[in-house]
Order: sequence, then structure tokens, then C-alpha cells
Amino acid sequence: MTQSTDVGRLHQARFDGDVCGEQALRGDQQLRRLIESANASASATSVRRHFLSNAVRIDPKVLPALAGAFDDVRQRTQITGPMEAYIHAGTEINACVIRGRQRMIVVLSSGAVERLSPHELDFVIGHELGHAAFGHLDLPVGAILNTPNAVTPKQAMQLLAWQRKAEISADRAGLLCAGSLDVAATSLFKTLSGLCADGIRVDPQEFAGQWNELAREVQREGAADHWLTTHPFPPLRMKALISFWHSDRAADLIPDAPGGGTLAQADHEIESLLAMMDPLARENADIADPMLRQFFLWGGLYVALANDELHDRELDNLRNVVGSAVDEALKQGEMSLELLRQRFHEEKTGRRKPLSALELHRIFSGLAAVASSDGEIDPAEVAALRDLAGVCGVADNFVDVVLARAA
Amino acid sequence: MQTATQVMQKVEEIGAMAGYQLSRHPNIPEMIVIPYDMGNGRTQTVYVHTCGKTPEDQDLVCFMSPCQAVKKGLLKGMGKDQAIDLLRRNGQLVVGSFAIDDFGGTDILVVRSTQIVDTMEVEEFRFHANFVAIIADRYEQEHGEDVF
Repeated sequence: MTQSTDVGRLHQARFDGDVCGEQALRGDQQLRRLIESANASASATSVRRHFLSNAVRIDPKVLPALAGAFDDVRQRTQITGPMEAYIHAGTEINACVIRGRQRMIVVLSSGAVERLSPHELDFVIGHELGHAAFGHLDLPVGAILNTPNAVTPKQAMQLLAWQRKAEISADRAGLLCAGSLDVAATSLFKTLSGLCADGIRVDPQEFAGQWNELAREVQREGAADHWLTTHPFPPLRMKALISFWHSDRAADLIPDAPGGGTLAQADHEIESLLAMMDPLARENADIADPMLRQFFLWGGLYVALANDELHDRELDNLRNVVGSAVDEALKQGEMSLELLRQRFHEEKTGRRKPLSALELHRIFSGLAAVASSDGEIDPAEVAALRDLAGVCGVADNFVDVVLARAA
Repeated sequence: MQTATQVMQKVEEIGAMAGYQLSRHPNIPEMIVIPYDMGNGRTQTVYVHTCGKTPEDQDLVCFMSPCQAVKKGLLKGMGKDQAIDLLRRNGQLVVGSFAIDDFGGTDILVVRSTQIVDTMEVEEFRFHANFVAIIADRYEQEHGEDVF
């Protein structure tokens, strides 16, 4: 599949969280010095020699079809600087891009070349070239984190959070090069599962649906060490691609993309998904704490319906916090207060770690905001809040404190 | 960076979660006051206020309960024996310490315990508040007093 994808158009696909994250990192004076130092060290190291001696260079005379495919994707991403591609022996489907002293080096595993279809390989190569096009290699997170005592834990979280956002951008570059959401889904699936039987077709929505189960498990588990990973959870990556696919920006860039939503909406949704992997993002006041979403949903409906009416502003407030989940919940039919309370209680008892004081503060501040969003706080709503406080083992007077702040 | 007001709002919320009836000091708005009924007609007061930051720039609060006024002047004040006794007691406390705080020009012997605000849970609020109240009241009782 041939597409016209120049680097200007490629940059239109870059995830805003990636851009802002990089700016924030470069705004840190200490990190800026570390970045410069790591780049200087990298430029002194010859990685090309390593691959020339341990891998096969993709050369038109040796591997003409693969060289042609690589050049095709490279033209589409309009990367003009010196670049070489290599294949190294490896059964796993793997790829990376490395900055050499004088050129970019893309490395594919033999497993990737043998087991992916040409279009699926477009996605993988496009993903790696996306990293190069977006300048991700100029911020060598791995080298910085491997320098002993160089960064604080908070800076390490910031670096890894940005790296995950960079993967979102690179996935979009891969999607642009492959031109098909189905191809992207199958490529991701094969890379992650190792399964490559003929005829494998992955439904993107089904793949992304795994996210819902994963999210529930992460919420129940409480905060963990997900922030240590360099890549987003695979179902999250698929969900992020679907969000982008349905944006008008994707429709401008990819002929088959249906569009419908704005890029800002897609980016906002992806930020809220990524927040589940980033302890620092949970501090972002623009995004409701994703670990507490189910509390906001069931508790919010319980409080809003306590006075037998769901005000439009209460519904809007809930939508801002939990998105379309509130509409999906309401579609299930009439929900009794008892059922809503039960769902809230199940959320509480399903958690493997107790709710922290900060989480309790967030939950009840959020619920108080729902109660006050229609301009008045009904005695029934206050009673509902106190009831939920009891479920959480929190004293009544705390409800008075949060209500006073919400007023 | 959080202001003292924001820090104390957080502390107040956690105290409320714990079920305490909190008020603010009439002369020091950023100080929380917790009255305790120790039973047998005895009372104690715990004060909570900001007390600086950790080296990692995390806000600290101090739970403090007074137990004795330190008289000033020649032949008054705290003697060596009492000071050594308090040092020994400090060695036996699981957290916190006896200390001398200045209250509007008056030296007061207090029991104090500090906590990082951002990591404080409901149980930790209860623990620090109860701990300083009990230790301070016990000291007063040993000296036949119930002033604070």
C-alpha cells in the first residue's frame, strides 16, 4: 500500500502528551544536562560496528524485497538523513532504532521479517522510523536511568511516563505507514503474543476490550510499579490507536480512517488512560483519578439520584469525570439506589489495598461536586454522601468538611 | 508548592475522616486544636501545626500536646535532673519526643510528634494525636497536675 506521508503530515499525528512531556523534561535544568551528557556519550560509541559484525545489513543486492519495503516506508516518513537497517537472528518479533555516530540504525529481528506480512512489517518499521522522525532518540531515557544516582525517583517517573507517550506517537506513525487499523492490530498482536499462524485476524475492538478487564485489575490492585515499564499496556496501545483512528486528524492523514471526533478529544482520552500507569499523572487536576473511576461512577449516580431526579448538570459533571461510562450505565435500565450502593460497596471491598486518605479525599470531593453541580445540595444527597462515607469507614464530619469546600 | 493554608486543609480533612471534632486556634488560624477527654475528669489538648519540610521538600506537621510550664529565672526553670529524666524518657518513646516550645514568650514542656502530610493516613493522624495526648497527660498526672 503506497501512501503519501511526508514528515510534516507525520508530525500532525504526534501525540500531544508526547510533545508536552518532552518540553517539560527539557525544562528541567538538571535533566537537560543529563540529556546532553548522554547524547555526547552516545555519539562517541560505535554501534554500527556491532551490527556490521553481528547482523545482516538490509542491502538491495542481498535482500531486495525487504530493502524495497524499507525504502518505501522511509520515503513515506520522509526521513532524509543517513540510515541503515539490519536484521539480527532472533525468533521473537522485535525491532528498534538506535542513534549511531553518523546515522540512524534500524534493527529488525529475523522473527519479525519471517513472521509478519509485508503490511504488518510496514507498521513495525513505521513505528521505529516514527521514533526517529519525532526526535525521540535525542532524549535517551535508558542511558539517563542507567547512570547511577543521576535522577530522583520523581524524575525517573517523569522520564518513563514520557517514554510511554512517545510509544503512542510511534504507534500512530506505524498506523500511518500501514494505513489500516486491522493491520496495526494484527501486527501488535503478533509482536506481543508470538503467535503467527496463517489467517490470524485480530479485531481491534476485541483487543482493546482487554483493557477494560486490565483496568479493573489495576484499580483493584491499587498503585503498583506499572510506572517502571517503558511501554504502555498493550490493550491501552490498541485503545489509543482506535481513539486516534476515529479522530478527524486521522481521517485527514489516512484514506480509510473514518474520523468523527477531534484530535484533542482522542488525546485527552489517551492521557486519562495513561494516567493509570503514572503516579504523577494522578496529581493532574485536569484528569479524574483513573484508579477511582468506578467510585465516581456508582457513588456519583447514587448521590445524584438520591433526591429522585438526575439534573442535567449532575449528568454533565459525571460525564466529565467518567466519560461515556455513565451513559452506558444508564442504558442498562432503571438503577435502584440499592443497586448503585451495592456497586459502590463492591468497588470498595474489591480493592486489595485500603483506600488511602488522598483517595478518600478525591472520591468524596468528587461526589460533593456532583451533589452541588445543580446549584443546591439536597438533604437526601447529604444523607447519601454520609451513607457512602460509612461504607468507606470515614466519619460523617468529613462529609461536612468536603461539602463546605464544594459550596 | 503548597501554602500553609492548603497543608492544614489537608490535615483537617484527614482528621475529620478520623472522626475528630477539630477547630482552629482563635489566635493562630493555621493551627488545629483537638480537645481530649482523658477520663476521670482529666482533659488534654493537642495542637497540630506546620513545622517545616523534609529534605525532599515534603510538608511536615507537628502534633503537640503541652504538659508543663517551664518557670524562668534564677533557681527556677528546669533543673539538670529533670532534663536528664526527659532525655531518658525520649529514649523510651516509640515516636516523638519531649521538647520545649515557646508559646508567646513562655517556655512550655510539650510532647511532640511529626508526620509528612502527603503520606499521612487516617490511622496515622489518630496515632500521633492520641500518642502525644496520652504521654503528655501521663506526665502531668505524675506531677499532680492537669493544667493542659
